[in-house]
Amino acid sequence: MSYLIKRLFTMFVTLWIIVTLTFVIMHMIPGDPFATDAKSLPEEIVQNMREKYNLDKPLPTQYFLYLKDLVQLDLGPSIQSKSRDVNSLIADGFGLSALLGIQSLLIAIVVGIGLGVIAALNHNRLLDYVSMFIAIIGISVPSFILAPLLIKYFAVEWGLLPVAAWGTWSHSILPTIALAVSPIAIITRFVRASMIEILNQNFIKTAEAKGLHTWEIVIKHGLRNALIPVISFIGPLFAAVITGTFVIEKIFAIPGIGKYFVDSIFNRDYPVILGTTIFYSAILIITLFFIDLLYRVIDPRIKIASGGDS
Amino acid sequence: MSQPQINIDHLFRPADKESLHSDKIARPYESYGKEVIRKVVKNKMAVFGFVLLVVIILLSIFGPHMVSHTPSKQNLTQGNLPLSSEHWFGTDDLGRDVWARTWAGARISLVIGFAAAIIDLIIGVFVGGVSGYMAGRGKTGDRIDNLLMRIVEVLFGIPYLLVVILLMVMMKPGITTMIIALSITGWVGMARIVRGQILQLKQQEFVLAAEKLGTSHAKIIIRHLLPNMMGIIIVNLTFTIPSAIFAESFLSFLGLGVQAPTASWGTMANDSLGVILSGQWWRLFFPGLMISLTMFAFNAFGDGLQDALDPKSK
Amino acid sequence: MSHLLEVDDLKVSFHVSSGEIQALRGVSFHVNSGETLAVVGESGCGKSVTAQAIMGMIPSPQGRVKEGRILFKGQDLTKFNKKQFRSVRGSEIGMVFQDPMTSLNPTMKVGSQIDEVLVKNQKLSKKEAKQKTIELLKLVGISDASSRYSQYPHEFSGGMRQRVVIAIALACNPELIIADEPTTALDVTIQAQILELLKKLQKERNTSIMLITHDLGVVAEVADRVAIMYAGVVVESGRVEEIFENPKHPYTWGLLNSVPKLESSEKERLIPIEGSPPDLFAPPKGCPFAERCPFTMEVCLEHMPGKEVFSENHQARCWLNDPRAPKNEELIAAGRE
Ligand SMILES: Nc1ncnc2c1ncn2[C@@H]1O[C@H](COP(=O)(O)OP(=O)(O)O)[C@@H](O)[C@H]1O
Ligand code: SF4
Ligand SMILES: [Mg+2]
Repeated sequence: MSYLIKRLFTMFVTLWIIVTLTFVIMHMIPGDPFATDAKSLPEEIVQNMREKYNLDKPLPTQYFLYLKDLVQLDLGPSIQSKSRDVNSLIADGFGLSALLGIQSLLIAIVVGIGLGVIAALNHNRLLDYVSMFIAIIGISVPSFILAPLLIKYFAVEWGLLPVAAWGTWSHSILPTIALAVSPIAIITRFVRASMIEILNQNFIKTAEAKGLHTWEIVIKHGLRNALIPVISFIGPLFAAVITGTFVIEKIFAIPGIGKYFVDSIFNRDYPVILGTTIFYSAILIITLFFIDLLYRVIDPRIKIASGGDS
Repeated sequence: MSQPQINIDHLFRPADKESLHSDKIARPYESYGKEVIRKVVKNKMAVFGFVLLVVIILLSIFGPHMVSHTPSKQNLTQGNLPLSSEHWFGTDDLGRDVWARTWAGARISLVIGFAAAIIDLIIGVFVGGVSGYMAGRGKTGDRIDNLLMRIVEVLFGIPYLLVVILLMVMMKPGITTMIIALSITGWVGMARIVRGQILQLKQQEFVLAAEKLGTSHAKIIIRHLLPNMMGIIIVNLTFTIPSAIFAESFLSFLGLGVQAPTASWGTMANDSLGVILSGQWWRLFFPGLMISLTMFAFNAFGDGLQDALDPKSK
Repeated sequence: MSHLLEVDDLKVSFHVSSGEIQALRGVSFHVNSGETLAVVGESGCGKSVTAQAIMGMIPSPQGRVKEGRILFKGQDLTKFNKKQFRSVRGSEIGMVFQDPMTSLNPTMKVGSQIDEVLVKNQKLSKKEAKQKTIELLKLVGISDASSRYSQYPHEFSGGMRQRVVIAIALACNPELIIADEPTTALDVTIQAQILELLKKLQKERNTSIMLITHDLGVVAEVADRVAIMYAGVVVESGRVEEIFENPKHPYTWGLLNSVPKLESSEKERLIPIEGSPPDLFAPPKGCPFAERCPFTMEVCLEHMPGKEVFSENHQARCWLNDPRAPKNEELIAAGRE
């Protein structure tokens, strides 16, 4: 129990640090971050901004009002248009980004575990080398190089799939693949290393001595144990997929949060950059928290609450 | 078993054991460093990665001088030319030589990668070293360790690239800014690894002995602990350098990295995004290939090195 | 006379990058029905590799049986394929490993780990298996078996875990149990309990046991016969009385010297054998013990001693037993002290 509380506490501290950091950074920008941009903004928006950020009030007051907005889940306005604030932008883009992200994470997990297990079972043999070669290629080729190549061949030259933009589910295939490749490679390497270690453990020999088939050993005794260390890796992986959506949504012109985020970077739309950053951080940190809990459910050696009978 | 047919009767008398010892071919004792090198050299992927790395570094130094075009010289009449003996990698839309730009870009990428990784290393080793070394040394020691680890824990929870993006948005874009942004949270991984290592090493005889002899803390850390962690630190470097290089090209691709007209692999890829469809593949292909080869080289070499340092591997 | 298990001139090598490790260089011994054979030797002499070879579990691809036969109930196990091995493992030969702390799956309930072998080999339903597992847990001396059934290994002590591993090995009533240093990792009092348990189970079920150990004290407790291994060969074998009362090999003498005398109350100092076993990358052509033997003759350096047979069971490989060897009985007696 005390663990849960401690963990929740760290989570909020991290979030608070990020928020404070973004606030400080925002005020470190020389001049007025909301007006210094080369583009001359409509007076209306500048006014809106001043009000929103209480720029006329003293700094500590500004800080607390900013926190108060965040607690009420108001991520702030946009300087691009009066009607669109970060909340509405996230509401618009979330569905697409989540679909892309979840699809590619699932593919990455299934394919990555599969390749990793195959490699581990054939340690130092042909299939191991093949899997590792695929993995190392996947890690080496950045998605922003791979994506244009996928478009060029699958969409333009062979005409198998739509080129870009969004419409039917088939539009999501190429971006999903482009997004999944590097997580696949990372998971493959991780699962392979973890599985090789587990397969060398004594309890695997016990299982073998029971007369079990290799696949029974792998599934019943190997995987669960091998995946425990891999779970702790889902967090960074999730982060990689999120940052991956920035470039993938830009390249494929998919109107998800990632694309809005990149656009806001191009336009130096500071409030949107900050609001979105906080949103992403919050999602990641909450995910990390749940992964930590999952860890404890899967590994009976770690208990969330003491005295419980699992 | 059948007895030997030849007559051995005369051999039944005490043997001269001295000769036995001198006869025995002693297996030459291999120093740890030599053993690691032998193992790495046997690993074909690692050797290949290393050679590739050397070639890329050499080309980043000499590549731009091998042609008469400078990386950012524009020549609008020579735009989008395919590969030729004049332009080995073709030209871009502004008529700039892609070969020259690719290797000029390599310099930027490698400098940023190495610099960021080395700063990470210094901060990470310092924080991890102090934290691990102070742990278990009385109340103050534990407090220092706790404090540092809290900081590391929180920083670890913050998504790396997001922080970097934020910093890059706020600061003046450029190489120095990029290096600073990349190393502000990048050292956390190294700190965790070093701390873990120190905690293990501290328990070993030679460290305990040095402590009993009253050797100073700094000396113990520098003389006894660091040398024993070199392997792991180097392996970690072979992974942090490429991830910094990747981050650089990623940010430049998003328009947050080095600014035009400076070439970097990321900006070149970004510039050529649209044109690949219209057929000027070389503008994306070469910078893309070089990023990929560099990542591949570091990873292959790092994997091999890691295997070689693993005492379980033969 | 046919034995339950007969290992004949078994040679096993591991090919690693620095060369070929000749782990077994012609191992021969047998196990009769219902008896306990102790296989004794220093660490690294090839005991575990022998067990792995019998179970068909030599780590591949680096390890390989090069020569020899392993006859189990008349069938040559070295000719078995994977499928045939699976039908033997667990059901006809059970195995107990050295380290109870790591030989159970940490993320699986203890009961399920025993059920598994019953479901697999005896085709029991989950329910029948559970019932039998609880009986087995009781049999190996675990009280409160039905609640213990659904606990995880980390909730068990080392001795209790080893009882569980024994229950797994025993579950399908195999004819042979191979126990590879089953007590080495345990406290002395727990060791005695585990040995007691093995002895009791063997009496009740008439199972044959191949007990691997480096501890002659354990041998005296439970074994009927002993095979002493050194550097990948069996150097002496015989009935326990023969080995303890009339050992024929200098290595055995050395081992006996290093046994703490159980009777004497005060702890006697162990006299370890000086030196270390030969390099298995390039084993000597003569007697492998020559370098450490106090009686080495020139012949020992040149030629591998053959098997000298003293009784139906008792054999040794040492040139001292050759009629041509000098009759320095006094010397030998001195060495034995
Ligand atoms: N998987 C392996 N790879 C390489 N060498 C091995 C392997 N397993 C055992 N050996 C070698 O075989 C020899 C015998 O080992 P083992 O049978 O485990 O000894 P022990 O008698 O202590 O059980 C040792 O010298 C060891 O180095
Ligand atoms: S054969 Fe020779 S060296 Fe070997 S044990 Fe006998 S006397 Fe000693
Ligand atoms: Mg062993």
